[in-house]
Amino acid sequence: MEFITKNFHPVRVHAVQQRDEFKKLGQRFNAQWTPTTLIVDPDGVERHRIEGFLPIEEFLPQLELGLAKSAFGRGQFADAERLFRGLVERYPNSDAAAESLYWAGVSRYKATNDPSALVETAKHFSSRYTDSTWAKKASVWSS
Amino acid sequence: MHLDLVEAFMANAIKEIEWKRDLDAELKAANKSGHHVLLDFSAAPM
Repeated sequence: MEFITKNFHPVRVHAVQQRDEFKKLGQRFNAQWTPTTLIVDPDGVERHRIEGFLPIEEFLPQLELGLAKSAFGRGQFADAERLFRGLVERYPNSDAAAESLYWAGVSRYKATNDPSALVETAKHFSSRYTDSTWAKKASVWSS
Repeated sequence: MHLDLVEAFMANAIKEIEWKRDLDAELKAANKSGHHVLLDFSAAPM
């Protein structure tokens, strides 16, 4: 869990032990179900949401996806690309990998304005994660 | 599987994390540190 302690300020709101706080913060963040885990950026903006249980081998990639999406959402496209690609390398078989590959390509395009980044991403999807929604989304970039 | 057990499984996997309770204090700390807040709404047995 070093990844969590290194990268996050972890806060837990318990549905039973903190009933009032749970209700208040549940409304504030629109959390209607447990477990719901949010990644909130240093300015207090929610950047990623994990609803429902995930085994640890899927939970950790989701946390990395959240950090990458946060960098993207804050316009830090080079950092975002690095984080998205790192996730694909470290967790290639996770559910988050295909989404991450897609956004890595978008991040590179946003950083460089070079459309070949999108064409290249579509090429990757012709051999990886071919059945994923993200491959379908990237198919529009095929040259 | 009973819902409590499902959440207990996940809670066990991340049990060594020292979860804080005061969100606003942690948001302030995150603003200073540049780190993110991991906000977990849970019903897992503690």
